[in-house]
Amino acid sequence: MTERPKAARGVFALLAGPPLVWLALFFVLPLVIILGYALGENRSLTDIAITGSFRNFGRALQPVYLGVLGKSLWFAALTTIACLVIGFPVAMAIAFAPARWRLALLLLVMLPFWVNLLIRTYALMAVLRPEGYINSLIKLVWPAAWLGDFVPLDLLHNNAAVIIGLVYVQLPFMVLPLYAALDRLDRSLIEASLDLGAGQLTSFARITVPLAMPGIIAGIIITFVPTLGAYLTPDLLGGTSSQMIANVIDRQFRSANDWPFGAALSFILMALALVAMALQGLVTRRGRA
Amino acid sequence: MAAPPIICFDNVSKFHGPVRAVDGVSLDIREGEFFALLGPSGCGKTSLLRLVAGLEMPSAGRVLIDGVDVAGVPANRRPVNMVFQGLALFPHMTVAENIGYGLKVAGVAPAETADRVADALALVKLVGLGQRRPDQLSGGQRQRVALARALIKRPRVLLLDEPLSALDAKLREAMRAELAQLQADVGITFLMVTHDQDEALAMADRCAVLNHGRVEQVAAPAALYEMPASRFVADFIGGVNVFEGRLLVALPGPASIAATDLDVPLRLDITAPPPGTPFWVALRPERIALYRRGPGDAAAPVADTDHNHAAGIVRHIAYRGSASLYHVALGNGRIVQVLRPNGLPGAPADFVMAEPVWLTWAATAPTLLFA
Repeated sequence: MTERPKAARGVFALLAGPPLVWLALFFVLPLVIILGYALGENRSLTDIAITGSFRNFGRALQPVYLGVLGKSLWFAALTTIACLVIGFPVAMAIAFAPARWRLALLLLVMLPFWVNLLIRTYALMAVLRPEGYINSLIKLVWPAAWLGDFVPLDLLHNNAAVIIGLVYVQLPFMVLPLYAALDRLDRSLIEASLDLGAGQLTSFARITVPLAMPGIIAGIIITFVPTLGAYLTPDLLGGTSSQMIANVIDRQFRSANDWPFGAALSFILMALALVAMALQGLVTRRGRA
Repeated sequence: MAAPPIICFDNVSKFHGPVRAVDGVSLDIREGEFFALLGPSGCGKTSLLRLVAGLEMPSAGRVLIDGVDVAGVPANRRPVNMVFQGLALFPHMTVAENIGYGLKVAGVAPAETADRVADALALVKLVGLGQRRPDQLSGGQRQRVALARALIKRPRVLLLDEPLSALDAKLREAMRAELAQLQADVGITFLMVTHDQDEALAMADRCAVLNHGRVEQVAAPAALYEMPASRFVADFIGGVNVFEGRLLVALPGPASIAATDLDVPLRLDITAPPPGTPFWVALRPERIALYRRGPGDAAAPVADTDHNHAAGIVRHIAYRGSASLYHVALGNGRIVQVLRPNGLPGAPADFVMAEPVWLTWAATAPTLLFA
C-alpha cells in the first residue's frame, strides 16, 4: 500500500505537471513580481527600481489607509453576518423542502450567476436611485395630503447601498455550502432531540447549528474573503466615503501611477484574507477538540 | 384484573398521500409489558411507533397515552422516549452529553444530571466510557448509549424502532436477552418495532402482527406460533406448509379433511368447520416426522390410526447444523417442508437426496386457518 509502483508515480507526474507549470507561471510568478514592486520605488513615470525598502508598507500604516482597511474589514464582516442571517433560513427551507422542489429552488438561488455582475449592479442602481423603483413605489402610495410632498430617500451612493449590493452578490455563496451541510444532516437527530424533550428552538441551537458548522464556516470564508477585496460594488454603489481597499489599490495602479504602493496594499489585503482564514481554521479546530 | 392500557390506538389511520400506512388499527398496550409490533417492511409498524412518539400525527382515530388523547401534544411534551433505528446519537457530543441531553434541556441541575448519567452508564454497563465520542464506540456500545439516553428520563413507555438492526448477528442474539432483562429491571413498558420474527418471539410478552397497515393478530409469542389466526401470520412466524382444505367427513371425534393439493385425506383432531366454509390447513415443518417404512409395511414404526401418512421423495436438503430442512415431493408434485433434528441419539441414518420416504404427523399437529 505504502510503496507506489514506479508507473503510478510517472502517471502522477504527468497529470500534476501541467497544472503545476500553469500555477507557477500565472500565479506564483506574478505574485513574486508584485512583491518586488512592493519592495521598490518609482524612479520615473515608467521605471520602477526594486530597492528592498519597506517604505511602502510603512506608508500603508498611515491613518488614512488604516481607516480604509478597517472600513473594508467592517463592511466584509457586516456583509458576512447579513448573508448568514438571511442565508440560513433560505438554506433550511430548501434542505427541508420536498425532494421534487429542491432542484428548482437551488436553481433560483443560482439564477443571478447567469447575469453579469456589472449588469446586476447597474440593475441595483436602477432600484435604489432617487427616481428608482423603490422611491417610485413609495411615492405612489405616499399620502401627500397628510405628510406633504414626498422627498425621495437617499438610497444610493452611501455605505448602506454598498452593504446591500455586497449581500446581494454574496448571498448565493453563503446559501450553497449551508444547504450542502443541512442536506447531509440526519433528520433523525433532530427528531431524537425533540423526542428527548427539547423544543424546536433548542433543537435548532444544540443540534442543527453545531452539525451545520462546517457549512457555516465554509460559507463565512467564501463570503468574507471576496467581500474584503470587493471593487465593483463599492465603486458603483458607494459614495466618496464608502471606498474599500480594492478601490484604493486600483487608484494607485491607474490614476496615481504608484505601482509600488499599490502592490504593497495588495499584499496587505492578501495577508488580511489569510489571517481571517487562519482564525477561522483555529476556531474550527478548537470546536472539534 | 386487567389494568387500563398505557397506550391505546383507537381506530387509528395514517395516510401518506394515497398510501394507507396505517389502516384502522385498534390496539391496547398494557402497563409494564414488552410489546412488539411485528411485520414486513411497509406494514405500518414504524408509523404506529412514530404516532406514539408524536413525530407523526394520525390522519384519523385517536392515540391515547395513560388514557389521555395526545392529539396536538408535540413530541417534546410526551411521556415517551425512543431508541431510533439508526440510533441517532448526536455525533458532536460525548457519550455522557448524549445520555444527559434530555435532562439538560429539561433544566435539571448539572449535579443531578451528572449523578443520573452515572447511574444510566452503570445500568447499561458503560462505566468509564462517558467521555468517549459515539464514533469511538463499538456497535453494541452505541446501542447501549441510545438505550441509556432514552431511559434516563424515566419515560412511561420506551419506544424501540428496530433496536437491534444495527448489530451483527452474534451481538444481536446476545442483546436480545440483555434487552429483555433490562426491561424487567427498569419495569418500564417497552413498545418495539421489528421485522424479525425471531427477535419478537424471543423478547416480547405480546406481539401484534401487522400487514398492509392492519392488525392480523395480537397474541403471546407461543400462541402466535401455535395458533396463527391467518395464513399470513402462519407464514410470517416461522416456516409452514399450508394446504387448501375441503371437508370430507365430520365425525363426532376427529374430522376427516381433504386438502386439494395433498394426495391423502387428513385426519384432524379438531372440531370440524361448518360445511362450505373455505379454510386452510397449516402444518409446521417440525411437526412432521420422516420414516423409511410406511403404514403398509409390517415393520412400520407408526401404524396407528391417530396419525396421518403420506409418501414422498426427498428433493432438497438444507443443512442447518442442529437440524436439516427437507423438501419432500408428494406423488402429486406438491413440496412439503420437513424439519428434522440432526444427530439425535439412536436416530436412523440421515436421509439422502431422491430417497423415497414416509411423512407422518399426528392428527393434533395441524392448525385450521380461516383467513
